[in-house]
Amino acid sequence: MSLALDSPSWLAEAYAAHPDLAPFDELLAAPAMAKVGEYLAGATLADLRMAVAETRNLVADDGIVFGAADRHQERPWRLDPLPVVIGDWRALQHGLAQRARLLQAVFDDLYGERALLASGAIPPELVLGNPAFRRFVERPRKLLLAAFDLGRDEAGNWRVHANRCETPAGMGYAMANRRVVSQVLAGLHRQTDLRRLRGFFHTSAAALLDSGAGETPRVVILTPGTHSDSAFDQGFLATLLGFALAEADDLVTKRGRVWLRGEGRLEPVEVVLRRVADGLADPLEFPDDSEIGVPGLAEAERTGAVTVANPIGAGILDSPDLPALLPALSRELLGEELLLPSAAGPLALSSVPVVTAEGLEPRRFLLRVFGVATADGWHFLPGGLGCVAERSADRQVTRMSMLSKDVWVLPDPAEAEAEVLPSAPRPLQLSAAGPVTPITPRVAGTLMAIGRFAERAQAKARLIRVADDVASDHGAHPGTAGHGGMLVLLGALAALTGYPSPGPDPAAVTAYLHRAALDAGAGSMRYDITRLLANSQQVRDLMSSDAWSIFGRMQRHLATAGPDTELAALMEALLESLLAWSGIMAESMVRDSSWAFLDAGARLERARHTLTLLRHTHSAAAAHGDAVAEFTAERVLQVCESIITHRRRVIAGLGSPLAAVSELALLLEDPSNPRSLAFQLRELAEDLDLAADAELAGRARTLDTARGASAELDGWLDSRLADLGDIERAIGERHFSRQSARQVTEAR
Amino acid sequence: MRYHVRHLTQYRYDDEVEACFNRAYLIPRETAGQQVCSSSISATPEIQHLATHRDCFGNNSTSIELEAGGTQVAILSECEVETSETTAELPHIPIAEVARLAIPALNPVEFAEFTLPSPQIALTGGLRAFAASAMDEQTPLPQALSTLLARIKQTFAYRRGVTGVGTTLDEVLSAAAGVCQDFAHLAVGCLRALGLPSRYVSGYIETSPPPGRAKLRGADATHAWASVWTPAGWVDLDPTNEQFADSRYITLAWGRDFGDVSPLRGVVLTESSTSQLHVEVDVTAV
Repeated sequence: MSLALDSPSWLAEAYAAHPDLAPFDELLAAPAMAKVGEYLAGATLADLRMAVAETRNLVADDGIVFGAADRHQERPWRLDPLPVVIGDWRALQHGLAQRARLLQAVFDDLYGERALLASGAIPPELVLGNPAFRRFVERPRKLLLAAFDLGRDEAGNWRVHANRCETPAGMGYAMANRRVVSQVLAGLHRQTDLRRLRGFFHTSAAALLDSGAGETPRVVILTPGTHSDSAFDQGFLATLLGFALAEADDLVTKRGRVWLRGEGRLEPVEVVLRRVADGLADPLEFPDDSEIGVPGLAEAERTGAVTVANPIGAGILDSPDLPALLPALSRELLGEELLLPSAAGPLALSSVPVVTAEGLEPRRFLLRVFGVATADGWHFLPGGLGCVAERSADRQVTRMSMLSKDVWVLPDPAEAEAEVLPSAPRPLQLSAAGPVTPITPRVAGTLMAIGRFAERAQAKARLIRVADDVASDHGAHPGTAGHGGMLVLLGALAALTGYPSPGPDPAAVTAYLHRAALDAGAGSMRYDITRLLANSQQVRDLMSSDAWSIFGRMQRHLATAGPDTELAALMEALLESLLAWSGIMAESMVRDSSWAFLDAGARLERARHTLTLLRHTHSAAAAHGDAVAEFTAERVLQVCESIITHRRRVIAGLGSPLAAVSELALLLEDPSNPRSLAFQLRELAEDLDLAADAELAGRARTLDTARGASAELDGWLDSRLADLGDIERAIGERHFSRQSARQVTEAR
Repeated sequence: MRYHVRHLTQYRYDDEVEACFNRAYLIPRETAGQQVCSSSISATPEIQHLATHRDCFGNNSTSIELEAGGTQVAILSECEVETSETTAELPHIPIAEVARLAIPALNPVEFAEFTLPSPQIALTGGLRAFAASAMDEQTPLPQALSTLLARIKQTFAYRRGVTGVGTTLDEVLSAAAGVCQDFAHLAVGCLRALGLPSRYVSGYIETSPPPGRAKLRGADATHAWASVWTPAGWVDLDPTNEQFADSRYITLAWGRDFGDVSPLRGVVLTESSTSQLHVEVDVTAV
């Protein structure tokens, strides 16, 4: 049975002799792990280490993170490359489905007749004395989702460690794990006939749509956003299900119903898949200070105006007092013996191999499984989120987030046919069937911030690249035009970053450029990229998945950059990534208001950058004489990607041969130059038209781009910067307005 | 007696109110001694949505959503009720015996709801010690109840502003002061500590002006007291006024504690940095 033991590989042999092996080890005792055993028999430590490194890279490429961003706890998701393969799925699935049915029956009774309490089948104090029991509603409501944490006992039987019905979390991570592991162990994945995960998400989406009232119900996923440890899970789930991610600010209750705020109107919401805990879901019903719930949600659920998945109050089913009662309840409510009992005490847990720097070591293993209720019964994700203990000596898995495992389920020949029918996606015009989701003020604001930070990072990268080049050529030659130009450019960089200019010492200049690029504080290019990523995580459901691998690459560049890094090469690499990202966004986003806000952010930022650059270089350079002015203007044109245009025009005899004259024409007025102020304003106006704001579009269109010959340049540039600020503020006021702060009032 | 009750709750802000959601227990329930003739709720700004349902304790629970606008929220509840004296002959049996009789007499759900500790009534050592100072398991019921009322009256000063919505019973015990809600919680806690099903009652009481003075408009207040199960039925006792409830008491709702039946809880969306609360209650005999 244990192929690993028969293998010549010292890795597997050392593993089999490990003192921390559990009584039941998946690799040594579970036949389904044979393929993994074969793989390990032929693998060297170097292979495994490479798999770990590749896993880490792919996790970064997919932007898979864990930890609350608002508490700065976000870190890369941890995943071991070796999958856990499960063969006894069929029996397990029956047990899981039965347990889910049983919990539904218990749930109906607790929030209905309470006959189980009256009869003592469930001692009343276990429910009524439990704060997880929510008295606001008395009507049967459907559990749409279920999650259970499973582990094996000493004999290798699966037992339920805990019910996770309140806000089942981890489906997104399970799918993300699969995507990574199937690439890292592509060969093993191809050779193994395993059940795919996709179908479950189609089934879940259909079940959620079915649960809502009306022809085309709208489903949203209520997320605590950056307050949540598992914001990635929620965002990715939204992508997998095709539903919009909504934070509390995006939703409002009115006339007893739940609505999505967006684009100046309210759109009805029929189903809320919530990742906000029972006690935080509605500050009116369950007093709390957090802002992640929706006042009025519980009342809307009580009256049936909205379906909440899982229903508020489902947390009572996760109570640790319930499992001991389930065998009797199963007989009473279902007339069936409980197939999959809970653990009576602490579970022995099986062990699974985990790759470490030294080789393989066994860790205790817990498996979270996910189910969805459909018209034809409960369906479970054929797989799950595997979690292992922190150390091999640990006998329990205390946190689900320490190190995770992809879980493979082998198809059951007996069930193969039966399975195709129910869990195959129903004719899916899901996204077509669902109503169009408006862009909410929060999302609009986030998209504009994304556009702004991406453009800002790009602009700084270009300026730092040019300044670095100038510094290395001219930094050691005070008194030259190049040196004078360098000082002017550094002054502009100071204005753009907020970091005071360093003075002429060459070592100080190099350190300064590093700081402008890589400092952690606001103002640096690193900060802009960090903000770009953080904002992108919040609207994950709107982003092309290709964007994440670019972000992953940028993060790797930044993570490895230090004081000795060659800035030119780093800026080159980051610019390449930023341009690739812009390209993906431009090629993948539908030209609706989501695009409008993203692009508006970029246009405003580019316009502001050009104006600021000219404001801090043109007059400053001119004051040092024509040579410095000309040198600086050429570099400014270079920063603004317009130097080639300038030269071609000079050769063609168009415009002034002087860069210091040409830069103003090219960068301000020329409507054909995609870097000019005029061009940005025209595009901005189109964006605002797309966002259905004709009034602001009109304002953008009529902004002055042609400076009269007599006007003093710096004053004129300052007024244009002020104009841009006004437009940006107006966009914020008209499109990004948040709901007012909440005050809980209560009189005695 | 027939009473007209006018109960106005007003919040003033220094900024616009964008939205206002409320949960109200302001429509009186029918009881053995109380008939509800009429009741109405009105508000400024206008009510946008109102729905009343019977909660798990049989109370009228009302959800009120107001239109946006203005810097003020005012919710006016008016009702007319007919109350009658319900006298119960308390049997002279020890408390332990009452607790035993309660088990078969009550639905197990109801029994558990009103004997278990609840969010605002924790049965702490301090509370048990205070309960023990008034009675023990062998104390006959009538004597136990009157001693409990007397002990609370003697020990605690009626003082506003010492306690609030979030004050715990231990804090009330150490402050030795509070208002009617605190005293009701104390009484309920003491009774539960001895195994007697006991509930918190929210309502109003008709007050008389000081001798020789006219009754001032709005001078009444919301009131709260305790209710305990006895073999003669549920008996209401008012520790604030050291008396058993009579036909001057108007019941709004009952629950495990204040949290279940808070007369008016709201979530207001506003950028205001201040809020001023003003409550007026008038109980008028008609």
